[in-house]
Amino acid sequence: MRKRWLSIWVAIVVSLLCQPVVHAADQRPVLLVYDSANVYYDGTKTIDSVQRMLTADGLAVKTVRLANYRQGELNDAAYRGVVTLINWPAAGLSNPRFNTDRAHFSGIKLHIGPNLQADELVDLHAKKGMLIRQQLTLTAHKITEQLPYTDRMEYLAGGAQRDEYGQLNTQNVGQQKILPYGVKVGQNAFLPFWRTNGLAVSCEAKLLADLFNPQAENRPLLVINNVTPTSNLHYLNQLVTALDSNNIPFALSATNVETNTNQFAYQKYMYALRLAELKNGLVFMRVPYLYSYTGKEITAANLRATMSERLQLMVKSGVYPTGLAAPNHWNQDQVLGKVGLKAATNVLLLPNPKTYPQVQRTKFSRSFDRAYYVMSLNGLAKAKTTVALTKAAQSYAVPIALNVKLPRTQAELRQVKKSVLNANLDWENPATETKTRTMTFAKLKLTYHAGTYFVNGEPQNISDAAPVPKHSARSQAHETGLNLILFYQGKFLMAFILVTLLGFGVLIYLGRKAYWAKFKRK
Amino acid sequence: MIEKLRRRVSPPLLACLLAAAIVGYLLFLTPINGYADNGDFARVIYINGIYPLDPKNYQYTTYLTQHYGLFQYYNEHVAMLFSSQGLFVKMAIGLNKLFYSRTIFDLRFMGLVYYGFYLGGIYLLTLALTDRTKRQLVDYVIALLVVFVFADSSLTLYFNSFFAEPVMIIAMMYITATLLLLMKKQFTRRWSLLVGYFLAAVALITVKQQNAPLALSLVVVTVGLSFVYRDKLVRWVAPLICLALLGTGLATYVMITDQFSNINSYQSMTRGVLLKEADPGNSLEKGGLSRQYGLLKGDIYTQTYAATSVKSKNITADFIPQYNFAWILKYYLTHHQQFDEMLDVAARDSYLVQIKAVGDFTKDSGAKPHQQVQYFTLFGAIMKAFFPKKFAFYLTLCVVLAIIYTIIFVIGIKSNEMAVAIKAFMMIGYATMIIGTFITAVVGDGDADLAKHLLIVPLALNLMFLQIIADVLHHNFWHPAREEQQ
Repeated sequence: MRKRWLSIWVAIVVSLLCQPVVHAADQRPVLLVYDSANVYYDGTKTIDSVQRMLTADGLAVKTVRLANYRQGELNDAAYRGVVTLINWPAAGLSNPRFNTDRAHFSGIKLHIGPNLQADELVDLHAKKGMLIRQQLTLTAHKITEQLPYTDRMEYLAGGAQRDEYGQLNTQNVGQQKILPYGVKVGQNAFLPFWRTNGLAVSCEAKLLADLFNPQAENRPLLVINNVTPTSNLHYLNQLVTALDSNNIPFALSATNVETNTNQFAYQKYMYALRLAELKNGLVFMRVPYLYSYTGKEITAANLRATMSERLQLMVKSGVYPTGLAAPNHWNQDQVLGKVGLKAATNVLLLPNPKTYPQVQRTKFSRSFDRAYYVMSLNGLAKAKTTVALTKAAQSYAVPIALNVKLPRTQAELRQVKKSVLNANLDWENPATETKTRTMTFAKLKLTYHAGTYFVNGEPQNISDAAPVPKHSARSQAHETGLNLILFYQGKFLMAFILVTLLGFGVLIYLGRKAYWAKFKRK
Repeated sequence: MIEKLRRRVSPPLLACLLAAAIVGYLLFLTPINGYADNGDFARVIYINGIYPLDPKNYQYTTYLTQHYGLFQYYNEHVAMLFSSQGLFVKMAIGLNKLFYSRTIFDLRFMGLVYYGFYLGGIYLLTLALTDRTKRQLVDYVIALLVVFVFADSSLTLYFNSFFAEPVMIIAMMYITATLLLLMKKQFTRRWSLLVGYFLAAVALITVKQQNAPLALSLVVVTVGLSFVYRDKLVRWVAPLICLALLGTGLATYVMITDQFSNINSYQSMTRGVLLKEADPGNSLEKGGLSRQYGLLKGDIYTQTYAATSVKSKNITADFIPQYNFAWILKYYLTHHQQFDEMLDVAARDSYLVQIKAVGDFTKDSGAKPHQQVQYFTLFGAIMKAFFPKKFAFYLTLCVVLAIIYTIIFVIGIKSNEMAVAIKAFMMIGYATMIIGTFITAVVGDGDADLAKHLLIVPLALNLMFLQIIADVLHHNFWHPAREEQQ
């Protein structure tokens, strides 16, 4: 009897030990291995998008190029999962060391793109098939979107006991094929390609979340980006007012300056942001646009100072940022990520710009309490609905933000208003959420909870008082030291030369005849 | 001893030999000296097929890089701006391929090309400033002065770099020398001098986009020629040269690519118009621009931490195209105080010929980052320390010189010495060049890169001073076209 109890107890312990740890507390990163950046065909956008989506699912990521993969790196102790991204199918790049390690790896595996290996097919309980030159349509949540023309696509044929995410339809009359977009079999998953925006994103997000960190459904957050101190504040105000009157909560991704804050224009900018806060808008401070030939101009010290100064100036003016908005490359950089994004637990992850400086590139990216995958609201416009786009239809498995650009003209303003209202989505409303958003910097702790802003625990009232322009007299600069000498030196010299010139003129006048007579040839 | 020297070595040859030794040592003997890249080299090197060998460790501003790579395959870079500098770079690449390597470019070949033209310039300039026939002691003094002024390292360091300034330095020397020689009518080969003058003038105008307005001053200079050479053919040549110069100036101005002119337009506002006003919002609104752009005050185009992307439509469509040169000039004319302050900022920088922002040594030399050359910089140092730093001074100086040379011109005409016209118009043209450069630098690019944009000011002044000194030493200040008065 005792032996039986003992064996049961051992069995329980062993089964507990062997069970892969798939809780949120799992801090192991995910290894993202891509074959090529494929710059010519904008492949960097795909890598950027996959990285952002993984971060949005609360994961820390290590990104490695296939050729640089070192044998033995991928193991159960170090990584929670592996994502294989075939970004340049035509090149047929492979690394046998990686293939072997992946076959032995027992964590989560996701394969994106073609070149599925035999062991992966076994894990996915399927065979592979090939589609050539097809016009595909993606269907999810009863919404369809026509995809760009597909030249070649590998798909999984057969298989059972699997979860499917979205549906791809070919257009062959009579021989129409219906294939799943995303497939998940236990800990293994497959996507035939990766799309960075549009309808496919909801399938990708759901697949990733189911694989790694299942989350409650998220409603999308509406973000107005490109808000800068030089933007047209009149249109910002009009847009914000229109959103408020339609009960649409929103967020702003807004930059700040640390100089010229004594100008009336700066007060106007801060006032515009305060008005947005009063109209149920959250402010995310967008990190500065970086310009640097070499990356050496950006240092941890000056970046820390700039970020802290800009945030503090906002707080001083009654604007309380609840997070930061940053392009993804910030999170792939040791200095920019660690120093620049340190203050925030909430971030909006923007797509990378075409070119950007690298300060100290790292393969490791950080995870955040909440990181939003930002994509354009216009990307959804291509999707056609067979049913009315119901409010429940567009929710996402990871935090997603849909952005519109701040309009620059009246026509753009009309267009933006129209696209937001027509989308008819159920937007995330931070004011009704129970979660708290925090920012910590320079001895300040900003929190946002259920519609109220707190600074170091003190609730804040946001003022709607408009700034008044000052008609200040021009301050007289006080000259000192060397400047004073130079100042008088200049005046003295000018006086001296003028007097000399005058004397010279008088002399010429008096003696002109004698003078010229002297030089004339006789 | 002196007699022997006189017989064997003419003053121009002496100047040439001295300059060759002084400058050759600076440029070619390892460790070599020159100006390090401030980021501007990229505009020149890629379009000409040159690239930094080790981009990751490429030294910006701190150290001079001696070796570059030469593209072996198709070059996809297109010119960001049209410049006569390309011809010199192509020449250097040709020499490099002939004598050194087809894959590695040694910066010294760039220096060598400029060095050749420069020594020719020194020879001609000294020849023009001295008396060819007599070889008096004063002529040797003048030769030494030419070397003292033009072999100054602050100027010659430019030769070992991909900056456009060496072309300006050399072109100004040739322009002055050919004109003075034409004035002396000593040369039988008038046509070759005219061609030399014209080529130098075109090179000067086309080398940099901000030199385009110099075409106007050069037209003033050219007018002098028509007083002197009155035979039918030459009478046609002077107006033709004027037209060609104006056309070249206009072409240079038109051919500025958008990206390049955007940088200048942006900075002429942020580092110019907005810079000296506490709250420029009202002035902007009066000029039809949004007050918000006042917040860009003080920013450079590539501000490390910018609040607005310079590539966004907010800047490229709503800001930069909304004003132009005339807008800025009008602003300055209605805001005297700001204009005066900006011009004084420019005046402070005009004799800072040696660029302090970049190092002059290679890393292998063991020098510190940004280390500056001290060798043969006495003239530059003196001018930097003692030359007045107020725009009012420059203005007065130019006005006084213009008046004096008008008087000399009148005297010349009265005494039937028409050749004086060349010198008088050259001096007056140079005076307008100095004032014009100040104004275009401030209006065109604010206080950004001022020391480099103002290089024409010390060049023109040095050349004017040298002529005045030479004339005074030859006792023919009031009659420059005459042989020395006894």
